Amino acid sequence: MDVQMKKGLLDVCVLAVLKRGDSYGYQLVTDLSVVVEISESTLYPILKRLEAAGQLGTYSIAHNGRLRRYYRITPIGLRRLKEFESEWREMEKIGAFIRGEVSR
Amino acid sequence: MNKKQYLKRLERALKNAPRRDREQYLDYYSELIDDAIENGRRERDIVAELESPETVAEQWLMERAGDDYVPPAPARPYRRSEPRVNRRERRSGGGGTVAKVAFSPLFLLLGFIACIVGLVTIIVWTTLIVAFFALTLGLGVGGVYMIVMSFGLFGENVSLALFQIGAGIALCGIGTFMEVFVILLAKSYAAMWRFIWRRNRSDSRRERGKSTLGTAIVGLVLVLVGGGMGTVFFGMLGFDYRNLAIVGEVNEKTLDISLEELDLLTLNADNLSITVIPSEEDGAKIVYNDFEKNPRTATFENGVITIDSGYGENSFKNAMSNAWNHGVFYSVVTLSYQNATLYLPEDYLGGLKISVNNGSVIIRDHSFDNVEIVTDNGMVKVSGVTCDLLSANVKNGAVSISDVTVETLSANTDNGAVTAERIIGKNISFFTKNGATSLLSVEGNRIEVKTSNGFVKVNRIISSDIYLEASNGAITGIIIGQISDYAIDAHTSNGTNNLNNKSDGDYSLYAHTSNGAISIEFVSA
Repeated sequence: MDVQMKKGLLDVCVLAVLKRGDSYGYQLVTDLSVVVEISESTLYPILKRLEAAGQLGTYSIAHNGRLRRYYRITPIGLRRLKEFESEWREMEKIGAFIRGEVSR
Repeated sequence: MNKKQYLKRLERALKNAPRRDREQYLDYYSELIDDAIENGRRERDIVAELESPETVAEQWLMERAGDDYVPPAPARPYRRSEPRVNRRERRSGGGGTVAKVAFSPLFLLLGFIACIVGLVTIIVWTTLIVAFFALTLGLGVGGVYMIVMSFGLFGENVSLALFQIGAGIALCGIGTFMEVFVILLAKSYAAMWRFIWRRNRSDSRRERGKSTLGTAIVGLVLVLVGGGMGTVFFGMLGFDYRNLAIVGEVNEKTLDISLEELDLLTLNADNLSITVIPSEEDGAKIVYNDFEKNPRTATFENGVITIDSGYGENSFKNAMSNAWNHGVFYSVVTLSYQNATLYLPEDYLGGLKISVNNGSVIIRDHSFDNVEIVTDNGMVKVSGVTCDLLSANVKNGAVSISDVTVETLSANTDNGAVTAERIIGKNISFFTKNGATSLLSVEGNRIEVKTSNGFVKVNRIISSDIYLEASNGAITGIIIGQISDYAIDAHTSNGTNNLNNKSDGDYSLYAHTSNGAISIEFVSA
């Protein structure tokens, strides 16, 4: 997949997963890898970027004697998801058009 | 690779990153690995699947550069095996973010110790740097001095001048070489600071090495050049160290002295060490050295021997012009010739007065009427002498009196130790402003020892009137006698005192010090 496109999509995927509920690094990778090829080191900068953009927030919880960092979606993040959904409908329309034209 | 190794490599790969970023990365990956292990995966497996630490660091670099670059998907397809049924033993996690322990006493103590250690290290380091720097400076100045002074020498002897220049260059070279140590010390000092404050360590190690190496090479070259030059011209001088000074002819001069009807023999000299010893012949004479370049003359008139300094009136100026005209080594070598010996026949029993401007005085094995010694700068040593009055006054030098029989003995020095051994007299007194005093087997009607800064030590002294005073030192020793005979006045402001004051006694012992212990023992002969 095109790199730039993939990047944008990954961001939104992360937000989508977080919308279902707060999560932590390892869990996020596990959940996301079901649908897209993602590695721990790919995820990290995404999390950093989303946090910088205010689209997600973090907190730590003690877990088995260590601290585990949790991520949660923010209102700004939720807004982005909504925007993506409307864009996606546009994409679907265009996709259908291209498929139609190609198969013609 | 295991988790620890991975994180270590990651830390190193991110060493140029700000501390906060680096720690966040470490936390993230540490947590990731821990979670994977918790979910039943093997540590080595999960670590193997992670991006290499170097790649992670590169990625951080890209992000920082504002390049919105997302690294491509990993070469290996991302695999997640099914969690194992039996949970593996989980390692203790924690990564970088340790739960904060707020201000516990243990941490305060550790912090305090760290401060002390740090302080001591700083002091030691600074002292080392200063010491080496002083050494370097000294060598450099000495070398330059020699080179500069060489130019006056060309008039006299070209080989010698060139030798002196060579030696000067070599000295500068050694100084430069020492400089290397100063640089290394200073740089490791700076590195230590940076380590403590954990600022960004720029990789200037290679540059560091270069400048130090450069200085060392310069020093080595100078040493070689100077040493080579020096050796060549030393060879030309005939490999005789005396040629360095081109002292020229050293003359031994003798002045015969007639002691007929002489009650008192006086000797005045400048820059000479005097030795007075028994003569094997009938008459008296004084033997001294001088050189072509600095002639001296001894004259004897009205019972006074006078030997001039050889430098003329203005000693310092002339000494400097000596070094200029005849070389630096000259002024050093000629020092060994600055002495005169006075030979006295046994049958002279008059008085002796020696007054020296700058030199020591040694008197041996003779009987006199009175002996008086004055010297500004040099030690005084009297042994095997019998006389009525012996007085020695020194500004700056030690005094040593041994095997002497006197009526009155008075030895004073402003700065030097006083040693007295096997003395029998009536009235004996020693005084030093700054030095220790040590008496052994001294017997007198009255013995007085005073020092302003140093200890007083007496060993087997006999006297009915003993006066010991120190300002900053202990008073210790052994007195031959019975404590019951003595009225005792002993006091120390700071130290133990084994004497109890008492007022009954025909004899008297006075021992005072302001800072030191007093410990006197009485023994029977």
